[in-house]
Amino acid sequence: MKKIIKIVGKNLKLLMRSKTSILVVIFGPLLIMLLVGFAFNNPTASKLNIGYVAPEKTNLTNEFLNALKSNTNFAVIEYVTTESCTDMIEQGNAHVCIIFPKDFAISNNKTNEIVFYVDQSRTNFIYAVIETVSSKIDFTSNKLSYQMTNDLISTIESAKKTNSENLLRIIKLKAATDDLTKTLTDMQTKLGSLDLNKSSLSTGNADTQLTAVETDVAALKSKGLAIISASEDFLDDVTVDNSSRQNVFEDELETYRAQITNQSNKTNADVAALKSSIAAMSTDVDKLNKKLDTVKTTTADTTTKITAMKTNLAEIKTNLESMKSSVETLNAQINAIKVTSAESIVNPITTTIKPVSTKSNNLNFIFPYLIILIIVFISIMLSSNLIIMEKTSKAYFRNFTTPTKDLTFIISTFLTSIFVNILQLILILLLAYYFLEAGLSTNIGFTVLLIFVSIALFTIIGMIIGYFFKSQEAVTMASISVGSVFLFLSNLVLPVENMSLAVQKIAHYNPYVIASETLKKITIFNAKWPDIQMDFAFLAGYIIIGIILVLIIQKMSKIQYISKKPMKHLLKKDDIVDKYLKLNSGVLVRYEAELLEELKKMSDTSFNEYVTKTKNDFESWLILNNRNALAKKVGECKTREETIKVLEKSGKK
Amino acid sequence: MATPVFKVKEVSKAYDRRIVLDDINLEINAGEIFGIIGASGSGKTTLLNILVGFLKSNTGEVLFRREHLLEHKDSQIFRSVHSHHEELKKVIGMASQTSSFYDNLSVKENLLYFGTLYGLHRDTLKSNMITLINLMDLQGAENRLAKNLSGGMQRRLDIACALIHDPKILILDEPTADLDPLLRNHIWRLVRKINKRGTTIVLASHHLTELENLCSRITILKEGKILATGTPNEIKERFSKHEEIHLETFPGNYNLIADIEDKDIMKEIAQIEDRGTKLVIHTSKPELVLQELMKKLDKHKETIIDLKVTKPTLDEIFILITESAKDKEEEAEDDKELMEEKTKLVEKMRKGAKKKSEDEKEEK
Repeated sequence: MKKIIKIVGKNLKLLMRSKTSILVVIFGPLLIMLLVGFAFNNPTASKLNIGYVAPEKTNLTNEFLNALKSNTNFAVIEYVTTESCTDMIEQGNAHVCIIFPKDFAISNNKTNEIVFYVDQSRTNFIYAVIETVSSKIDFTSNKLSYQMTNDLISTIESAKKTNSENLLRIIKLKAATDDLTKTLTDMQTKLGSLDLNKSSLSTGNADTQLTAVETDVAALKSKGLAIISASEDFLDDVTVDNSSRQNVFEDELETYRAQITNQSNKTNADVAALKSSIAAMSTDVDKLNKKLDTVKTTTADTTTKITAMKTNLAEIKTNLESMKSSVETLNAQINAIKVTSAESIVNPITTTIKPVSTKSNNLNFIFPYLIILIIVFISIMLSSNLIIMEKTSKAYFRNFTTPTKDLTFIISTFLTSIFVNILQLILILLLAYYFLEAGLSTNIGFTVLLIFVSIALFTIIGMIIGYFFKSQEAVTMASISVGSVFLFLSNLVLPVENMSLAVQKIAHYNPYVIASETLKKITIFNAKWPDIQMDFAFLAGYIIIGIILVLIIQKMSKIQYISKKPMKHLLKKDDIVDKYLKLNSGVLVRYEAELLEELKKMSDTSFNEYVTKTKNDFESWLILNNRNALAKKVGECKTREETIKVLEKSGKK
Repeated sequence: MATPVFKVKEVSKAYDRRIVLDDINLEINAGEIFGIIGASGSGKTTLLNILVGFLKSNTGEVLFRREHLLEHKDSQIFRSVHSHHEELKKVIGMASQTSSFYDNLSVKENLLYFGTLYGLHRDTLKSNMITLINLMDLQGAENRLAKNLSGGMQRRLDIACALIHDPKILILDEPTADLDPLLRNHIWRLVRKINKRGTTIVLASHHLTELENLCSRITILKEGKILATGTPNEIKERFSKHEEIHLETFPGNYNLIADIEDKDIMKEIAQIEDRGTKLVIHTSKPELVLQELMKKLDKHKETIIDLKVTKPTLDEIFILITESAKDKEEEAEDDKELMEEKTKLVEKMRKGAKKKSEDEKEEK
């Protein structure tokens, strides 16, 4: 423990006293954080430069343009041609170019296409641009749609009303038709039932009867008169005390006599009249019979026509039924339209984007990603640099000679990195809180745990890099590369969903993604332990794997450091004399390939020590190794290049 | 009887196909200053790195005697450097060719750091640090960053870091490289001081003259092989029977002095060097030659300014060994024999091939 504390203290002192380290490792990230913080600490949307080309400034075009100009974040500039507008995008002076069509108006059989030109290479920004501008265009388009839809609905309502009225009329008409049909049927029936047979008036009987009547009347008169006479006689016969009454009665009898006489006369007159009437009637009956004939004919025609009329009426009724049915269907369909609000038709589904969190600052959203990003780079670079600084330092050898276990150094490096990271993070968080009003949630426990786990993980990754590579440059490049890979396989630069499926799968296991998403869940959404326990499990797993790799690679690097590729099998002296060629430099050549390698490294001067006019050591060696054919060819070579060519050719075979 | 602390047995080391060490056998005894000398690229650093376990040899083994048994001379318990590396690290300290400390830590911080890595108790560490700062003449520079120290101070700091845990064995690789003579001298004095405390020192250098007076024993490496091992005098005796007469006279007409007519005496003279300011005569019989020289000096009225008879320096012996005519001759002879053998074989093969092709032509 004492050793660990001492080593950590030493590391911190060295870091503090190294200006480069302080600048790069400590202040660098702080500066980046401040810059990024100020850059992202902007609650409002970005200013967009929108260019447009409108061949004709129709009312509709102007409406769209006014809608765009109403947004103060848009700088709307007109261009004459599409090329000039797109040129501005290429130069970076405009974000989007809108081309309005000629004759931009809403009419039938006309599609109005608004073309957007955008710079697709701004993949991290372009969607925001398109969305922002499109939303404005869509809004205006919706407004027009609303108006038109409203008109349409009104027309439908009106049609519905008219339909209802028409339906009533149809019903009435139908009823009238029915009545008419009924009436016609009745008429037809009545007409059919009319007895239009001719009739004859048999006046003989009537005359006879009238004569009988006359006779009867005469008889009656006579009887009546007889009665009266009798009465009078009676009266005369009867002595009445009451003479008045008798008088009266006598008067009455006189009256009755008069009446009877009158009546009889009248009756006779009547009879006479009746006879003449009968005669007239007979004439009329004849006339009537004639008329009846006519009527009969007419009735037949009428009946026929009534039948035709009834048929037509039936047809009309059928049509009316059909019309009624259609109108009813139409009405039913109109009634079935549940959505009758123009707003609901134009915008059947409205979306409201509500923040899950109450924080509305861009910086708050991106803060978890930034924090983890800083942790990634600081941890990896710091730990890898600590190790490579130690490996390349003068004191590395002395550390090796001390009876201190490698694990002690590993733990010390780890703790040093953790300590520095934590200090930096505290500073960053304080700065962010006071100056940028960005901070972490009240879920401090999980936040601290996640940050600590992240620091530990990326420190270990940095340590792997530090132990694996041998030079400062390689370590720096590897650290930056690894950090960049983590960064690009995340949502921070480009959406992961834009990548191929295989890459997406890998990206989901990216420790940076896991850590930053977990921190986001904790800080913005106040996630509970069940929601994040799997993420922590992953990170812990990575840490365990990392620790194992650190131990293995550290051991391997140490072995490599101290062995410097030793020759596996050292040769015996006899072997050296008999089988191998020992060069003047002390190098042993065992095979032709090694000879070729040495020849390539050798200077011509050195070569001339082996090959002279009288000897060729290489040839001799080859002969000793029973490579006679090759030896012959090598023997013919006078220069190093020739010998190399021969050996290369032989090697290819 | 000397107690070995290191035993190197048949150690060979090759990088790719380049043999750097070839069948090294030696023993390093406790309490001695053992020098490994050789030209650049002879394998000194490789040997030292193998000794401390920083490199692994391809063949052979390096054994060390375990620390707690160093005091027990009768206990000969040796263990392999590689299998007991952690134990070895506790007993050795090494200062490599390039200084090995942290430039951005101060003297004190470096010593405390490395001392902690050796697991020293705080009090022991502080005590050792103070002792070493005094020993290495680093007083006043305790709080100075290592990179701001002078070259000599850096080297002393490096050695101090190697000694912070009071090791039984100190390995020094070219401790005086790139230092001026004064500083070198200072370092060698320090090495003696350290050795006097009981530390066994193994050092590699190509400053042979300095090692001659410092080392108890030396071993000479050439092209990865040990040419000789022994005390400096033993080596001198083995490789050079001659002594050197260094004569400085006035007016210094050395050509006249060197012109010795006596053939018998000339036979005993291996070499005469006129170095301008003095005459150096290599001879196996210095007394005889001196007598003749006195006569010459008298004859030519030369006044002796300086006269000494010395054995050749280790430098000279080293040069002699590494570039000896005898070696060259032997080597050339060996080569010649081998070449003759090969050439005969080649000729034989050529004749055979020629005959074969002639036979084939005849058949056709």
